[in-house]
Amino acid sequence: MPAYRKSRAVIALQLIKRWRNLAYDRRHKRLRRPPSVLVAYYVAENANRTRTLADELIYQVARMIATLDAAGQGQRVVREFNPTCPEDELTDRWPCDLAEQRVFLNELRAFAAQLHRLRQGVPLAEMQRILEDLFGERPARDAVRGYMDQHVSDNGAGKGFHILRTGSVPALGSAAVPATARATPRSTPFGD
Amino acid sequence: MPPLSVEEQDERLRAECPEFKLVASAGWIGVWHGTLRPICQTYRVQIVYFARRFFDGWVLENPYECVTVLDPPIGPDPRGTGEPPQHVYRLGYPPAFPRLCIFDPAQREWRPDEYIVDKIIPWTIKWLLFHEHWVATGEWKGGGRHPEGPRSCLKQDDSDQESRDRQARFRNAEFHRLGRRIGIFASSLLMEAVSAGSFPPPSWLDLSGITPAEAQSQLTSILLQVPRLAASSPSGWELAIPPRSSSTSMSDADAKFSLRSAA
Repeated sequence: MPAYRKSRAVIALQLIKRWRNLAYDRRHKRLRRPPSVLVAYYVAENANRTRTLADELIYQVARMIATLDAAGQGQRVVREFNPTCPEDELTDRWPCDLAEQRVFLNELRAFAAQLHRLRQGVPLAEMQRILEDLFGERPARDAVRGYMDQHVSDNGAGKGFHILRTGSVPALGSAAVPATARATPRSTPFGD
Repeated sequence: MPPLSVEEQDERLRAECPEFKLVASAGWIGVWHGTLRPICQTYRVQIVYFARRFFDGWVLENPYECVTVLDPPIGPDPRGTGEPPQHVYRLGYPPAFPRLCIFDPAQREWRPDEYIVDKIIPWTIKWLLFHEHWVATGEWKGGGRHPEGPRSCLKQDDSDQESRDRQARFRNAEFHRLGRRIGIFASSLLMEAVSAGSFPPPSWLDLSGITPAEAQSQLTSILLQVPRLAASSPSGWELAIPPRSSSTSMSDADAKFSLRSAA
């Protein structure tokens, strides 16, 4: 299913899981990583309360930080249960102790800081570097290349779009045009 | 079709791009500042629009529109490789603030009887998109073609005394009109500050919607921030504000400098 047909929460969950895998592969190889089912539970608890994917990802990460931080402040590890099957504990294998929980919390905080940098605005090259760091070199490069290829193709075919209110172009170009977008008239950049 | 007035352009811009504010207007010239964010980076952009270029006895050769990026500056070496930015007019403009070449004037892709919001803004977004990609990769993928050399700003169609007098009267009248708009009368250097497309001092961004006293204070601070403007004066910026008796007149050189900077 193309990404733009999925809910923001589902894409956010996939991104968080990908980031978690890379973070633990790179820096905490010997540690058990937070289980996917727990991450999915947290995302589902707070799903789709935002308007954009970036907002959703930032919000979900912030909620996880708040939950783990609150538990850590009380010197306890989180305990969560499957809402449809209360005897099924989602945290039976992770976290083993406060230290393990703190590792994930610190990683989440670094993740949130990078997301906020993206939110505030950085040049394309810097954006690609941050995405590579968070989600892996190849997916980030493919994403940026795909993004630009779409816009180059749209421009060549005279099918470009823009959004006046935000001064931006639709993220997926003509592949998924939001209602607020308008067709960009053809033009020929000039100059030396 | 006659060019649209500054007011007509501003009405559509305010309605559809609330980010853009008219920061200076004298009837025949309008200056807007606003922000655009094509991908992830936010750019502060200035648009100068001349609603009138033909005057009694002379023609202003400035283009009808001039788009520059105020922040972050896009020149002179945005990639750090020595390559200048692509598809800009660099000659005649400060290296850090070249005019963007967003369309081909030879193909008449935009005319002044068309709205800025319908074409100039979308093309600026598009230009910034491809510029940002060029900065990241060194490849310009926005298409286009390259031009000939620069042009002078003012074209005198007659050099007799009567024409020169007419031009002087016009400049004085416009100087007064602009002075009334911004609430201050001083030298052509202040005109420069108000119409500065070439050097955008940050404190000038908020001229709209303030009282004349505030405007005067801000413009004074602009002069303090802009030693370049007074650099031609060997005595520094103080001499840039001429004696009261001469404060209402502009020399040809001053007018040319001011207008050229505005576009």
